[in-house]
Amino acid sequence: MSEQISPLVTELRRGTLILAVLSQLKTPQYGYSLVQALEQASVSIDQSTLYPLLRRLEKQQLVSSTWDTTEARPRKYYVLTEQGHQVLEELYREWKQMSLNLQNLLEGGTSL
Amino acid sequence: MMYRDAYIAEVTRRLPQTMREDVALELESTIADMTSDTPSQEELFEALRQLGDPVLLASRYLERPLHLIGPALYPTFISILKIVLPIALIVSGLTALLGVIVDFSEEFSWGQGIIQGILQIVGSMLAAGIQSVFWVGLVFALIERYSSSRDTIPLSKWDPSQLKPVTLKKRQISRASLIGGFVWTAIWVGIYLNASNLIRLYWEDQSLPLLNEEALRFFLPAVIALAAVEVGFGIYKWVKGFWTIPMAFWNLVFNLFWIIGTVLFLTHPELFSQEALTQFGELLGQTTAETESLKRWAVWTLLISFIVIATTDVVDGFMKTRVPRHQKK
Repeated sequence: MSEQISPLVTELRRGTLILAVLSQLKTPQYGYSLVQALEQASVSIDQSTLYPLLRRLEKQQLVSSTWDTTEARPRKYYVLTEQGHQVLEELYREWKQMSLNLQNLLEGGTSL
Repeated sequence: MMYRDAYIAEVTRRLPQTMREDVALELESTIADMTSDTPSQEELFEALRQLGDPVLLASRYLERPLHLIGPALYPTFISILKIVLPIALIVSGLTALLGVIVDFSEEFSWGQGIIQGILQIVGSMLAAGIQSVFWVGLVFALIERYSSSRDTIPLSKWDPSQLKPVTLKKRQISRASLIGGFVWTAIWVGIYLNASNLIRLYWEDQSLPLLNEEALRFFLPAVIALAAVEVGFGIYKWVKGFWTIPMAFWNLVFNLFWIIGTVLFLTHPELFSQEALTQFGELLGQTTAETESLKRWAVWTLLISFIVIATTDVVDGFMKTRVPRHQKK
């Protein structure tokens, strides 16, 4: 990817990041498992962005967190709250509409 | 594991107390997830690299943008201001008060004199306050941009190898010595600015300023610059937190400037008011030559004491950079 395009792509991705993260939290995930899940779907996210983001989502009460200490090492699990589920659906609808609109715009080429 | 803990400490010390423990635990378990059970240093470094600059990570946890003075330096900036500002206000207020008392002239009524005095004191305190906020802010903005220490804007490439182990006690710079330095600056600048009111020759019920107003004005820009550099150097020491060879070297340069400034000031031909010197000679019944030699003697005494103090300070700085032998690297 050329020098010029990569910041633009990052910019483009930024808005969808929360949607991607929320979509993976229907089941409880801990930080690193979330990173891997996103990577598998080739949604790359900077770890230094992800952990603070999770904390912010928790503050907004879209996700809740619990420490699981039953395993060998304690892990902090995040999962969607009721409100989080609603927000995810809402965002998903918006996203579909948006990408449809943009597709029309880019491929239609003719103004109405 | 030393590097892991150092990394976590670098992040958490910039966060509010309430978040610290939780973030630390989460980072610990994340780093453990990213590496094998007994990671090699390279493996650990790779994980830390993925997490990136601890300052940046902390600033994201804080959800604060990077300012003129970034999140890494901001707490230090505030704590310095909390120290410098009261000192500047108290010292400028006191010196102005002294000046007002000394200068209390009979030509006004008491009421007028008091109002004038209060205005003068408030004015000089306000000026001192604004000056100190400005200079401290400027120093921090400069440190933010040009310091090689880890407390700079985290836009540069960061690498785990930059994590430094905890500093040795011997080389640490104590808070008290820094506060002392700021107080000293405030005092000598305060005296200088009010010199025409404070440094006077008194006899019977009269007094004359001992120094020429023109000479004092001539040196004023240099005095402000020197004071600003002195405060700036104090802040630099504070941010660094321990003595280094370059710091000792800069201390030497700074002290040289001090000495040169003092020499130029004290040997300035127009420094002493001729009127006051003549008066002085008359009071003691001396000839002009005697007064002149007495003046020269006083100037030299002052100069030599300043040079001794400055030299001690320089040597002390270099001594403090030496690492005690029994310490491991």
